[in-house]
Amino acid sequence: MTPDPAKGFVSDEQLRYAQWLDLGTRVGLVLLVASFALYVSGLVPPHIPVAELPALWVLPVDQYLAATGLQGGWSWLGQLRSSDMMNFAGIAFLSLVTVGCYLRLAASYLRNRDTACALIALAEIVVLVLAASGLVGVAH
Amino acid sequence: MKLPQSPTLVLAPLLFLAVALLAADPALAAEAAASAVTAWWVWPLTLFAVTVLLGIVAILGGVGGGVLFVPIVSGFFPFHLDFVRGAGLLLALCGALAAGPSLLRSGMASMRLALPLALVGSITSIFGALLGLALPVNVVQTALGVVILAIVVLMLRTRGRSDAAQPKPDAISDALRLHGIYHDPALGKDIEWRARNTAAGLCVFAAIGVLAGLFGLGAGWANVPALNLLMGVPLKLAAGTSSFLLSVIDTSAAWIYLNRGAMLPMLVVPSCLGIMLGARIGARLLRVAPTRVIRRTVIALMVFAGTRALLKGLGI
Repeated sequence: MTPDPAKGFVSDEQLRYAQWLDLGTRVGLVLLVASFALYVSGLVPPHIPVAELPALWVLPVDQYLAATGLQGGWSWLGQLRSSDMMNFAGIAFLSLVTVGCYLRLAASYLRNRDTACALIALAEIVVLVLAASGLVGVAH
Repeated sequence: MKLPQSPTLVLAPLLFLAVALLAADPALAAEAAASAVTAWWVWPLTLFAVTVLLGIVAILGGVGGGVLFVPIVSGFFPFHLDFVRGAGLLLALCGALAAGPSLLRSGMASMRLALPLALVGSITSIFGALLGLALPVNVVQTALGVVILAIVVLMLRTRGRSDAAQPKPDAISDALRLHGIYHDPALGKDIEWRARNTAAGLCVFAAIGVLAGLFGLGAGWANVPALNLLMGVPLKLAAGTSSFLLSVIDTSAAWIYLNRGAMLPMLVVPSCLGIMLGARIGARLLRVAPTRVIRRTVIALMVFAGTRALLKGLGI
């Protein structure tokens, strides 16, 4: 087997990031597909009956939330018994994969005393966590 | 897998896409939603079929899926634009997450180059998402039409610079060590690169972040020219790094839509799975596809979808 010539030019941080990204994406996709299968198969009842969806998905998001009694933010976590809310576990997991990868990345940069890149990675984590926290622009 | 040898077979998905779009006429959709004549499952199934075709077309045409998905689905399906933009971001995110590992491992994406640009883009994409959810829908729809048509102009006028000429570095580029070497298997040689115009690049990526968040578009159409033409990054590395950038920039905007309640699983999941399946098929067809014809067809499709979004936004 010939050695991959790209390896010599790819940093260890980048390779580790790729490893975490690969694993996280696979787990997220499995969660997404499994929860959607439960949802459309009707094995687990949803919070919003699927037959009512065509009348709801034409509405702006504020009216949709008012009509369904749903709230924004992480409120879906309290309704994970409903199959439609289970789907948000996969969606949220996929949206958190990058945060996990950046945590790993920041630790590597700090260990290697690459201060500039470590600070940028830490700042990115703050931005992503802020966006995910629901402190910015969440529906009430 | 035996690949089709005739351009007709490769173009068949485009023809089917046009027929599917005509079948998903919004007037019919609104009527169906009101009278519940159409079974609920027809829409996610149609959406899955259309996004498979969009995935194929996006790969063959060299554009991201989001840039086709948002104007087409918002123009021809009954879903409200708020949900379509949320799905568009997640769809672009899934594609970028799936492509990321191999791009990073092969060195076709540079993490060091992406780090500062992703930080700026992810901050501004939050503002873009908040703006998009605050503005009246007709304003966003009209602006979407204008942006899509502007992207068409950009696609027609931009030619990638594939040479690896060594530009003069700048202070930021030097400080962050935005340079490196990657191996190009097609050329069979190592290519040295060095970023330039970093300050201007950061400003452009701030604007790209706003557009990505505002319209729910994956911003590959803007990332690649910004990296290649402005920052002097070789075209292949620009394309790979762009994909990695999307996984970060779209994440922050996707969270705003998710927390706002603007993500419908019935729209998001079939779209993400459809576009990923389509992208895999598209990648296999790439070797035999008549790329020039397909690129022109994609541009025609974008003109059609952009005009439709513009007219819908203007209430015409």
